[in-house]
Amino acid sequence: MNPTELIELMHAVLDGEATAAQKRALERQLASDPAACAEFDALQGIFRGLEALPPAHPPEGLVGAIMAELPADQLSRPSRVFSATSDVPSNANTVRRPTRSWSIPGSESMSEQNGSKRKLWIGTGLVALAAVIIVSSGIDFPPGGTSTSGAIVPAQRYRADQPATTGVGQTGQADAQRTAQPVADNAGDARAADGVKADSRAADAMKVDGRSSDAMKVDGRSSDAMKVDGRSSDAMKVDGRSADAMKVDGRASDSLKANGRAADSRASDGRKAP
Amino acid sequence: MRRPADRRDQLSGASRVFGGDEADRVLLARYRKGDREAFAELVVRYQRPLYNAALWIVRKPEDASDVTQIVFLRVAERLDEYDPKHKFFSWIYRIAVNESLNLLRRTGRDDELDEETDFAASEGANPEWQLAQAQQSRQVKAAMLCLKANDRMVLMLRHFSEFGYEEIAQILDVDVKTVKSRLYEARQRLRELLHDLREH
Repeated sequence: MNPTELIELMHAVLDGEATAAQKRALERQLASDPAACAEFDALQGIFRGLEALPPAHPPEGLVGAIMAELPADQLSRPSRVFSATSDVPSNANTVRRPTRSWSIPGSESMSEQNGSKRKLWIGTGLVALAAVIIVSSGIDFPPGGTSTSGAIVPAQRYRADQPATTGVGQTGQADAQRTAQPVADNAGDARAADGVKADSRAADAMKVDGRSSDAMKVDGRSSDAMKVDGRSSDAMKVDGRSADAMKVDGRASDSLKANGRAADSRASDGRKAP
Repeated sequence: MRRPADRRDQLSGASRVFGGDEADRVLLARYRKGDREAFAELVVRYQRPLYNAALWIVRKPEDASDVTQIVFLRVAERLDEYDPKHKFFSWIYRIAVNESLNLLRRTGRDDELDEETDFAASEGANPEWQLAQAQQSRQVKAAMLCLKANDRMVLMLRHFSEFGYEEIAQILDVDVKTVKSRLYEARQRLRELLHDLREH
């Protein structure tokens, strides 16, 4: 065994990487070679010294800090997008504030784009509904008019196309209540029936438009927002003050924006601003 | 001489940390399904050894803390790149080493010696043990901190993180022969530094 092999063997034995046969070979060598024995003792002292060093404790709150920086929607992100940038050493600020590197890649903008589209679909749907209600409100509540004839005549015209008013009223009860009942509460059963028709027209409008109905069907959140949240639809339904008021004070668009913000805040939930 | 598992227990605070390849896989699977608690558990398991690894390379506690954070965020973002054929811990250690070296390159701090580097006393160590080790620890620590980052890194991987040659080779992306060579050279330099420190 030459000196280099002997030194390598010493390191391997102390590292726990030597085989039993190698250990025996070293023992034989050390037994017959005082210089090698001294060398081995010195090396062993280095190992002991290193192992005696106590480990450090990470700062308290490190786990919490890491979890706070972990994006909420990380799992839905395309990781390749991130890896393309993460291999590049970033500046010192990135180390100090790790979240900066997470704001660069495109998935957030994708999320924002989706949010914008969602808002557009919600807006389109609500505008269609608003248009229907505006028309029906205009019919039901002629400006300054107390006569109901204006409401009846067009109602009869539309009713003529319906198979059976009572049937619609029964089977479409939920729809009538959802979209036209507040109007009916104010103006009577005839207007409730109109509400049903108006509802069907709204549906037609959305079918024709396609984009709105798709958005509402596919993106459950849009329809949920309108049904559950109701900030927009309630404003239209209950008020019935309605069309003009909404046009003037822009509550519809405001509520849309508010919905958009709510969606954004849900999407970014759990993410800390850098 | 203390067994590797003992050291790993000391580093991690729990033996399951280093014996938990299967547990890691389960946690990763849970996290992939959206369970953030699973990721939090991984952080709890590995924050301490990764922090120690980073600290030995960057030598500043605040930098080590930053590196540890970065490592876990990198883990989350690169999860799809993880090859389950390898140990999860080896993979995240590789990220930790790279991020630590990146930090040193960016800041140029490798030549600075931080005298305030705090390697706290081991939990549960008795006073006699601490007293007996204190002098030697001070000298070894001082010598270690004087070494170049590459030397500190390979010694840290072997002596503090208890990786074998093969694992170190994977982490550093070199062959086993290079690992042996680097370890030998690093120990030689450490030995010389210790000799100098004891003479002064």
